[in-house]
Amino acid sequence: MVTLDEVVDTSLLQKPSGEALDLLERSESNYTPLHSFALPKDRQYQQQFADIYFLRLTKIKPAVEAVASAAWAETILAGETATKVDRVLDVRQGQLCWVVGTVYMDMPLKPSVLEDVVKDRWISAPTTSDHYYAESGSESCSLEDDSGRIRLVGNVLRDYFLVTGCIIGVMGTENASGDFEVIDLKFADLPPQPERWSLSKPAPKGSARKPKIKEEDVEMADVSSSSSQPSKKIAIVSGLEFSGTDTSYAMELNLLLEFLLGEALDPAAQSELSQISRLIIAGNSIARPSDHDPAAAADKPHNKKYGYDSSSYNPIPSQLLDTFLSSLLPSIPITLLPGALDPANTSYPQQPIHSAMFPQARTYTSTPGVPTAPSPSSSSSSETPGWLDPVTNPWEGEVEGWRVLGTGGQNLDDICKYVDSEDKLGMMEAMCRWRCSAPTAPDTLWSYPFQDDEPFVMKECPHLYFVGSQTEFGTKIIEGSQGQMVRLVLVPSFAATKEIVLIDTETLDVSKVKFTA
Amino acid sequence: MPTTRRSTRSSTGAGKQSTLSFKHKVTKAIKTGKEGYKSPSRAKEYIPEPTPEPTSKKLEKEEDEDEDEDEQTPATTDDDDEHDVQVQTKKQQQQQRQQPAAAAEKISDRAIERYWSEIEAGRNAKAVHKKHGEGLTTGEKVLRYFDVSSQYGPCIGMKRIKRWQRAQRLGLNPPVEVLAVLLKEEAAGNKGIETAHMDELLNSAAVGSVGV
Repeated sequence: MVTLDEVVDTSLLQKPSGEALDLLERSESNYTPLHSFALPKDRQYQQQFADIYFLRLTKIKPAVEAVASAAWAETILAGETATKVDRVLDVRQGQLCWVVGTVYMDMPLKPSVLEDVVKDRWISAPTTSDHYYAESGSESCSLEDDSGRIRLVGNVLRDYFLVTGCIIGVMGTENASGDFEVIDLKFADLPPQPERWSLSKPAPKGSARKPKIKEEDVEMADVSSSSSQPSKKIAIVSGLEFSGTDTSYAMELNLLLEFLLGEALDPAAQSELSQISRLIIAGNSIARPSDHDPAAAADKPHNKKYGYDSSSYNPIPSQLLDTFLSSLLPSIPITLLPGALDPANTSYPQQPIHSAMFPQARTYTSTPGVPTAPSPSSSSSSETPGWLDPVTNPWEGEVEGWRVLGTGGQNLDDICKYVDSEDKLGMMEAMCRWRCSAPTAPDTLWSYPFQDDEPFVMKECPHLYFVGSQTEFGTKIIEGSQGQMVRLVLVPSFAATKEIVLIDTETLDVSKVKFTA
Repeated sequence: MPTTRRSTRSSTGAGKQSTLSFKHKVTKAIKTGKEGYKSPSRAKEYIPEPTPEPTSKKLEKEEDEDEDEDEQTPATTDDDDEHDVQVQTKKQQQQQRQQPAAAAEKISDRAIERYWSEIEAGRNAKAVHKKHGEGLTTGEKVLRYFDVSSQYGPCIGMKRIKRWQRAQRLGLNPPVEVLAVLLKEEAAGNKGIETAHMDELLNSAAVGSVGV
């Protein structure tokens, strides 16, 4: 009979070695959310949307005027100098001038409330088309301000992305048919960019926790001379789309969980994973409820319930999301943005998903402090965010010192409908140069009727701008005239592509991780 | 009768007959800040900076005006005095901006009347429909003019005082006389001036409108 002592220390069995294993600790996340898009709880909806356009124009107009006058002040065309005109309706025929206003795109396929009112007696089901632009030139572009509207024509317009709500300056003259022929176009360009660490303070270098990293990781980390620790990473994922019915990507969701917790892979990879300091979920965490099969539908007419039919509610998706979050939360802080499919309000800006949706993960949110509603104008939020931070969509905050602006994807998708182009990064760049993160609100993107302050105008340039729920991954760096640099990231939908995005916090380099089962 | 002798006293000695003062007649056009087209609702920009009367020069002018025979002339500030006054009042304006409400309290009714007559003087066309304005006080006229000044945003759906404060916050420099009128009316307990007149009309129309 073989005893243990004989077998031990051979290749078959080994006694526990008795040495302490290195425990990997996750890097701390330095995080300050800004409540720029929070709406008061007692908000009114009686006001009209015209105030939004007025606020946007008033805020961005000075910047456009500065750029335009710098560019066109000395312009002489055919012996005439371009003069600045105060209002859109002040342009005169034959006079070379420039003016600043809001763009309005008149497209026949765009859902129009005026047409609905005209056809009041019989409204057919609204046909939702994927795009508003038509092949023919039936759409027109006009420039508008508080005085009136003037139609813009010219070949120059085709070189630029233009959507309703962006503020531009145009130089040209009025032609015989009353349209304004555009010779040149200018945007406000990128707003001033704050320094890194403008809102929070960096953790002191060489802090209490000793870096427990293996040597192989040094080449993976960015060699910044000041810190002895490798740089942290931010993970961004979008479109998790937990569903009760669709399980094609359920395996990958599980792999994602293990990846982020560090349970998968070998110790070398795990130490890389320990640098992921924060996870940002950028929308669409719960899938669209799929259609019930026709067999079930046939039973429906039996009991007609008035009002809300609670039997059609399927709690599985939110339970799955809750379980996912609560298993992840003890290890990593999470910022949760709502998306188009999530249980939050439909109009922009979406308010945070209520913690009642997460009975298990709820313990990780910050304790509700003073019951007064957070107002966007308050200087600082007195409560520190918990490890689970449900935030608004769009969201602005400072992570590791970098100013981050992120959305769930509705603003970019709406702009795509206006423009006949697949260049989504170009559209993101255009949004930054227009200084407006959702120019099509309130025209085709449902929005809250702001009256005092419009938060979609970018007052300060973010360092990182990400948009979630996209069809594929993409990234680009754009530069501004004052040395601003913005990293644009398109975060692909996980349910479709099984990819997540990792961002290095020292260099803002982007890498992509793909999960295959 | 012996001919009356003219003494060698100066004509402006004490107790002499009052002289006509040409200081406050309209002798020059209102300064336009920009060449070209003067759009009606922007006439505000061409009016010299309205200020409360903090300086002694202005106080003197007030007394002169009182002595004037005709007090109905629209008073435009003198060019000679204006430069000095502007230098002094710029500092006051900065203080004024910080406490607009406090400054607005100090504005007298006279200043409001003067402001309104400056606006009316800037209009080229004759006032044809004067009869519609007869029932309105100057304060109400000032407020209605503020409502249709589209450079401060749409007037519908917002209280006038909030609209003024929003314009102030955005740096559009709304005239402080409007705030003065609003605060006075509020102090007098007049609730009717809270919303723009156009707003009231439209809301009442909405109530009575027939759905198709």
